[in-house]
Amino acid sequence: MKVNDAVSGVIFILFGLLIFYLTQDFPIMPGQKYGAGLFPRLIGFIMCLGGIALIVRGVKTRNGAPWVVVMDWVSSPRHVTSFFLVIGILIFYILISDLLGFIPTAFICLMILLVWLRGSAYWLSSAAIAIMTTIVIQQFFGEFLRVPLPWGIVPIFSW
Amino acid sequence: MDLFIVAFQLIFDPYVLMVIIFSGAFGLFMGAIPGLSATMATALLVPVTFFMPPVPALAAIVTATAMAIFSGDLPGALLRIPGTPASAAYTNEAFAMTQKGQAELVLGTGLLSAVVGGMFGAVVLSFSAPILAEFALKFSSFEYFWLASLGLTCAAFISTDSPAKGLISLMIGLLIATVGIDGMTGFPRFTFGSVELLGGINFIPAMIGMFAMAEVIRSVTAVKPPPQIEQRTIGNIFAGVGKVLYRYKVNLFRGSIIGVLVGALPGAGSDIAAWIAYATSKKFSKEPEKFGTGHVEGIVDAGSSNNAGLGGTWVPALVFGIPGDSITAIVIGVLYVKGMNPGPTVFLDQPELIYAVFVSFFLANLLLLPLGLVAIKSAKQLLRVPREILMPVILMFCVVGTFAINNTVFGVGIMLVLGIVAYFLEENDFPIAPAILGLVLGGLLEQSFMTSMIKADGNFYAFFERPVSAVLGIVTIMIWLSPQLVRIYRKIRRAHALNSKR
Repeated sequence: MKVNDAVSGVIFILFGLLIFYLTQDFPIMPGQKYGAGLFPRLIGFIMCLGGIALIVRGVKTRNGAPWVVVMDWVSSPRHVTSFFLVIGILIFYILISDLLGFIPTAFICLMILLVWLRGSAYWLSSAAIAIMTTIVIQQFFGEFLRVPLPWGIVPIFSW
Repeated sequence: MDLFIVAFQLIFDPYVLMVIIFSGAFGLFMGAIPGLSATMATALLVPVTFFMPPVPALAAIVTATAMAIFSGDLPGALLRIPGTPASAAYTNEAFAMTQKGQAELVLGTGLLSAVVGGMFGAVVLSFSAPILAEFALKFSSFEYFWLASLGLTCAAFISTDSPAKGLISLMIGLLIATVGIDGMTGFPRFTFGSVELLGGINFIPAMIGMFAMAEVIRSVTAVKPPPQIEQRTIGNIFAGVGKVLYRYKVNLFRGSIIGVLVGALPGAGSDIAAWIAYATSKKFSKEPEKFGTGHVEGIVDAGSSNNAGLGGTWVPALVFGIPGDSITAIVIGVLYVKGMNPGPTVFLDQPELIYAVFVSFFLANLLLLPLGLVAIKSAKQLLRVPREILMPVILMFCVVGTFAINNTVFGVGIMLVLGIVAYFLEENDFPIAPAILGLVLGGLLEQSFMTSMIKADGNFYAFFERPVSAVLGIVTIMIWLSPQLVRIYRKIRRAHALNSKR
């Protein structure tokens, strides 16, 4: 989504105000007039100032252009799918990797992405790449750097 | 001198040398692929360096970035797409030379000026940093507050055409840094009841999200296919380069100086150094009319300045703990992770470490010659690596890298959220570097601000009472009030953009 500067200005002013709202009940330091909320509020204040500057600039330079322009890939279903696929795959990994284990999860994620991006005709080489990448990452991080990647359903083994 | 010998021993260790060579190859690869920048190379290296002792960790980052800044020239010259932002200033010029059949000359010149510039940066860094550090030892929280403010405002104002957008990006970074338990009052801020957020948002997943994940999204949604490189072999790149460098020796020197100075400026890095060096070159050239038509002169200036700038950016980072650009911002983050407090005290406590950084700068720039040569020779293959394979692999690497920091998938979630945020910010022309600087420096800025406030007892004049803090404060406020310099820089850039369109 590409928005006019004025629109992002409004968004950031609202965001700055939200910071003020959220910092209301932050405690103050004993013996001082301020506390944990001072710095975030300062941030919120400057964010509002920046937002105002953006609104001025956005309105000035608009020249009848639309307030919101969708990105060029939005009209292409293929690219929209790619966008949501990347996000979906990460969510899938977050939810399932502990249960299933790193090796199967990584393989599934890679396989789905590779087949989607390269086309199903290349499924065999995609599978080979997915297997190799999974093994290399598992070896490098899991074995060499000793990161406790989850094993899940896979029996624990070491080379 | 003793320290240099100790540092040599630290670097010339088989394990460290192996790390250097691997990260060098990695840097060359990342720099040569358009879209994957030196910053992203650093971001992806961090989870790996997380498991290393400080010396190889820092040497790896130094080497990878030096290589990536050079190899950004490769797609610039051969495809007319800068591989890293630092090559953008002279991409049109380099491509014009390739079209005239001078691809060898432009790549050879780029490589050798990068080596010279990088060496120059290393020399300046090694000699100026220890002297400055001695001076910096006298700093109090007031000076640090101003220094951090100065660095952050420069970053916000210089990195973009719209200072307001840089400022907002910076505020986003600072805000992310406030999440978690407040050091002053012990109060949990913006945690919304989440236990994982109590410890704050770790900068490594945040940075991987903002630099790497955002790029993966951008790549899979790119409607236009990347241009293909034409079939051609690259001959002897050193033919005629000696003559060019001898003829433009002043440019070589001038470019290196500009690079170091601009790099040392907090907030400005190699990319801005290259723009300024290129513009200066044109201004003082005897044949300015040849610029833009495939003239090698500007490439000598800009090619040396961006690698010299790399050394320059480490000066404020090592001396004050204030990063000069997003790469050194990541370095500062790494130093914190390693339990070191970046700043002048490191020079007292662990001077051998600082000198090891100096030595790795020299070594990296020497290695640039053979490794750069290999990269040029294999440019055709490098530029043909298909995106559809690269991006899923990078994504999986990001996932494991963020997981490895705290061994929870919470980091993956942070990466995902901030990656999407960064993607939308960049689509709307908000720069990302200020956010990363804000994220890394937020803690220091708030702490020095609050400490100073308590010391000053609410009296703002105390921020100007000490001479050094007064000077820093006045300079900072002058920058806040007069974006004049920025306007000049923008004019140069706009003029350049117009020229290249013609």
